[in-house]
Amino acid sequence: MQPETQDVTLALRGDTVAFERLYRSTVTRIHSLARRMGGDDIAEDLTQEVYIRAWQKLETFRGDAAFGTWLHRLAVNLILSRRETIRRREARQVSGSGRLESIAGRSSTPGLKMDLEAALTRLPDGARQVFVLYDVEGYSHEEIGRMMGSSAGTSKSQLHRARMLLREFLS
Amino acid sequence: MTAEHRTDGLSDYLNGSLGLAEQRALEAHVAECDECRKVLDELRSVIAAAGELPDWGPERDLWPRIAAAIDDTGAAVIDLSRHLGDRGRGSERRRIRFTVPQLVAAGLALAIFSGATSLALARWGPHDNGILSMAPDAPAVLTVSDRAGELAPAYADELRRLEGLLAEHRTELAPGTVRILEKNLDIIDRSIEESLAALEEDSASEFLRAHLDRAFRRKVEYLREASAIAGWSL
Repeated sequence: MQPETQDVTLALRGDTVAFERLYRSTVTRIHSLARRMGGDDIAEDLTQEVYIRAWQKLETFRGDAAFGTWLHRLAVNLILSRRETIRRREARQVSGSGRLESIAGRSSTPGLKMDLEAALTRLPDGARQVFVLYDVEGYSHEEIGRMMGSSAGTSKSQLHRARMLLREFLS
Repeated sequence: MTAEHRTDGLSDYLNGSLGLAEQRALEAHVAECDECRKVLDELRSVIAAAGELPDWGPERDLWPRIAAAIDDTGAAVIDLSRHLGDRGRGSERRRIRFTVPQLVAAGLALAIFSGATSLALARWGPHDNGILSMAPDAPAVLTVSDRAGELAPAYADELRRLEGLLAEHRTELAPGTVRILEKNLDIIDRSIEESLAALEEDSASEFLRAHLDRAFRRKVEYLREASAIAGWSL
């Protein structure tokens, strides 16, 4: 049995130490997803919520995919379900400058990648979420449409919008 | 450069989702249009950078708060039913479920309601299996007990009564049950430490106070359930 599978089994029996191991092996990716989709200032809250939800839903994990894949999908769904919260938060922010400074101060990523991280924060939330899901996380337009409760066509147009805006921000 | 740019199709082109005819038409256009070629190159750069974005985790450890919250969900179940079944083959199977928060609460309750950890140990009596030497040693328990006065009164009498039942019947537990308890007390100790770490970080948190309150309430409910199923009575 893979260590990850074993930890899931233990966690299902209530072993929080095993669940902590699962948390530690996945938190970087989940937090990055939360930060890019939800914003830097809400990423920690979203990340915490993802793991609490995962703990509650663990018995629905059937092992037909890797735990990380299951968790990632759960995280995406949860973050998307918080879109209204994210929208309200963004409305309170002034032109995203605080978030840009925050990201610039946290990462040592050089060049275009760093610029892209910062530019992502300036996108409208729908376009940003589609861009992250498609170009960063590798979901298809059909999957994104299902997860966002829209169509593949909407996902395509949001993606194009996001890419064009990012190109503009980065020029 | 042509009069009409065709940037709308560039994303689909880069995704490989254009039909062959559209693809060829776009390629022909881009070959002639400097602006669209520039946009296409820039979009390629954006996509390439997106695929290589490095991940980084949170600045602080989020686990203590997550641990406190998942304790609060009551989802962590330690199933002792099989081990209680060891006591007699053919007897009716008894299902007793200890949840982590309930057992955490048990550790806290021992410290809080016994007045002192050592007194709590004395009530349970010495035992050679090491179980009882574990939970009360956690320094975190004493820290929490300092704040327990405002939380304890509603549950104190009932917990004393139920703990008395457990103490009275404890030696009836099968060795397998004892081993499970011991193993899970390790988890509980850790949960206590994590809960306390969260409290130390945010001592004014209403959420954490409520968590403790709910843990006490579940402790009472659980012990009632366990004693009823196991047939323990005063």
